[in-house]
Amino acid sequence: MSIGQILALLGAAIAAIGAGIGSSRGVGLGGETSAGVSTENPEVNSKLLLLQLLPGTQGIYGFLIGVIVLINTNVLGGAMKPVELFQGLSILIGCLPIGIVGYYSAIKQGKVAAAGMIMTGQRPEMSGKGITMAVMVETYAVLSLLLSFLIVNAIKL
Amino acid sequence: MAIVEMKHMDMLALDRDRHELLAAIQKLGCVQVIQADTEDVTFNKPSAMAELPGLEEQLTRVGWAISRLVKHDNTKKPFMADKPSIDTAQSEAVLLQQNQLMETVETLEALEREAGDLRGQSARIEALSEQLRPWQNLQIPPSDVHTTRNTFALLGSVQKASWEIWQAENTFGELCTVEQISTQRDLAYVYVLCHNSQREHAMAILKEGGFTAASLPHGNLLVREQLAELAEEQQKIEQRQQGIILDTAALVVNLVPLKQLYDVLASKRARLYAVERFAVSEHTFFLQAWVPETMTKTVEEQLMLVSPSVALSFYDPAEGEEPPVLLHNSAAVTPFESVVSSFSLPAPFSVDPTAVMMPFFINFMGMMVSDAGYGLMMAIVAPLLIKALKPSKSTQRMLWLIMGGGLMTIFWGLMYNSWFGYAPLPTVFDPMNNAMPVMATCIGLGALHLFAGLGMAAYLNIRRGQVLDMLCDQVSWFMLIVGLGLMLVVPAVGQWMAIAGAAIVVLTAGRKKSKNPIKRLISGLGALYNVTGWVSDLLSYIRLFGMGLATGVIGMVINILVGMIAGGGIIGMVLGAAVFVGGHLFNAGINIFGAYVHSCRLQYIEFFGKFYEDGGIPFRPLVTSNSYVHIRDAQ
Repeated sequence: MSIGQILALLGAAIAAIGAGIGSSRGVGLGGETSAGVSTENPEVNSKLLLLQLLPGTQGIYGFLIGVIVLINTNVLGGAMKPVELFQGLSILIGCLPIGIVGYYSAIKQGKVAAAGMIMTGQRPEMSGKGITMAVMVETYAVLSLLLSFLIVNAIKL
Repeated sequence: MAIVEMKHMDMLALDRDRHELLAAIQKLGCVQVIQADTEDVTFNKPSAMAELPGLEEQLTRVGWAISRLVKHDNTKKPFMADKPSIDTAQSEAVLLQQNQLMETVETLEALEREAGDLRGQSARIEALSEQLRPWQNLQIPPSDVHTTRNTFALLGSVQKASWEIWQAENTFGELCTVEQISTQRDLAYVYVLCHNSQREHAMAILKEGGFTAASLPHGNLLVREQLAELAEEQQKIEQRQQGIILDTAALVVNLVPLKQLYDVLASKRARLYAVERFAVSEHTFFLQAWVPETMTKTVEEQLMLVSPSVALSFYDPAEGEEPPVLLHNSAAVTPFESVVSSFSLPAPFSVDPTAVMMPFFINFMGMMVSDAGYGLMMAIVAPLLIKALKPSKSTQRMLWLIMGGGLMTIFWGLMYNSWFGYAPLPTVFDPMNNAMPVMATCIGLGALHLFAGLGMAAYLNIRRGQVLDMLCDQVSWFMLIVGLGLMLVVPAVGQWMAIAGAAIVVLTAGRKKSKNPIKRLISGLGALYNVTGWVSDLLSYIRLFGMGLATGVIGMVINILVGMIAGGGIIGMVLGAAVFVGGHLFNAGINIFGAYVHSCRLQYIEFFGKFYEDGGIPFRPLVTSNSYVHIRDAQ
């Protein structure tokens, strides 16, 4: 196995790990808050579930970039293509946006979602605004997903 | 597309017709009663509200009884179904049953009280048993443990270790017996019987061993027998507790009428709250309200029918007055009103954006879900659910909205050539291998969306006769942004258009801030900085591509997984089918939700940002309560 191949796989791993950890923390925080708010006001539980779901998308984006790397290097096909050192390095760099931004934005989004849950608990009619606020944060995850995708897809093996 | 025009209604009527008139108004469901504003001294009689506190209490009790009985209700609740309906005749029948139903409530309350008493008794028995349990091997009744002329007797606990030492060393001597009844962890429960001469000696030793006297209830029975009695009592209590549960469950038959009664009474309460807003004189009352303009005729006819002596007048809201806001749209657009109202209703004299927003909304949703297979699912399943389950109005609207998104999803799925993650047809847009055209399309649609917003602002300005504002604030920006765009294609035209637009912005943006021409120019230059806002607004539409891509790639991954699993014989096929169905349902679910939310965001931030005037107060007419049932007219 060449260093280039290892770097490409490292990139896929970073994308999934960074965004995955971020989403776990974000969704986890949301879940804790949701449980707390639900004890006070059980009727809003289904609205809280939507808010809790929001920070989960970053993990999916990271996973997605990881899979694209695996597809492009034909790992999923069974026989990994040869990857030169600089190609591998470029793939690794391409994975960084979603790995890093995914990590931070999921945590921040989790916090905004948690705050939105507390708001929803006290004023259920505001749940739509809580969701909108959390989606604001998601914008940057979507942008970094795109950048990661464009870089990774631009490297022809 | 419209905000419904509201009229003021003044109504003067005889007090004796009050009940019938209010019932008619409630049935009409389109009159919002407001605080009557009159300075006429005739109307100074406080409205009779004596009924209200009693009614509130009754409602609380009925509500409590319902919450009790619901726990024992085993009837299947149909998924997503709407609340049941009753007609006026049924609601009157329920009122006639009122006393009987309140008896049920009383029975429930009595049962609850009894259950509370039983819990208390049970806890007491448990505590007593706990106290007696160490002494169950005591061979005499506790009442026999007492001092005599020459001896003294004690029951209590000491450290087990001490007792063992005393035992081994015979510390107490001949004139004292210390008998161990039982041990529990490191304590020994002992029965001490001593000759009086040994009292001080014995007490000193006992104290060293950490002696604590036990006080037992002085029963004449052996402890063992007392415990048996308590256990028997406890069992009786448990039986009664079971009985209470059964008794409560037996009352479940009253659940349906109780729910009906609740809403009938709550409707009455709503009428009483309306009465609170009346101005009342000796024999008449004066009511003020908001009525949608379109309904004034109907309201007049119906109220005249109830009481011919009623005096009604309708008139426009006064200058500066803010009527409540009600949106009215065609049937196809109505489901999208919820998107607007969950942001905020438009201000009374602005514009209802629902109809303009709707095509953009479903189009963006379609681009983000972007799989024709999922689109078919949305477009077929949503109407089927409405047909089969007859859900509540708000759920129906949500499902219609999903169906609309589904139609556009089919279109974009065809463009991207994605069917449950497979690509069986020729591709128009290929986001995986040729991203640029897709991104350009996203930005282009975004520009269209933003210009539509700008157009709305221009429309508002024209309607208000502010043509100059429209030229300075909307046309200028339109020229500037279109010009900048054209510079990429036809530089000569685009350049001048952009410069002209920019010039208007610089020269006029500060016109309302200051009279000083230099200050105006400075704030004009500041306004030009908004170009960055336009750029970030436009880039925001890239999410259409990103979200669509996510759906497609995850669908593809699911299919790759299925392909790997399905290779392994029959079990593999079954497992593969399960993964296929589960995986695509998950992907569709999470992406439809994501597409809905992001499509909302594009409306709220980018589109509404260009023109929207929010802050309308929703129209809340006097209607019948529907916490558990709808009360409808028989016809």
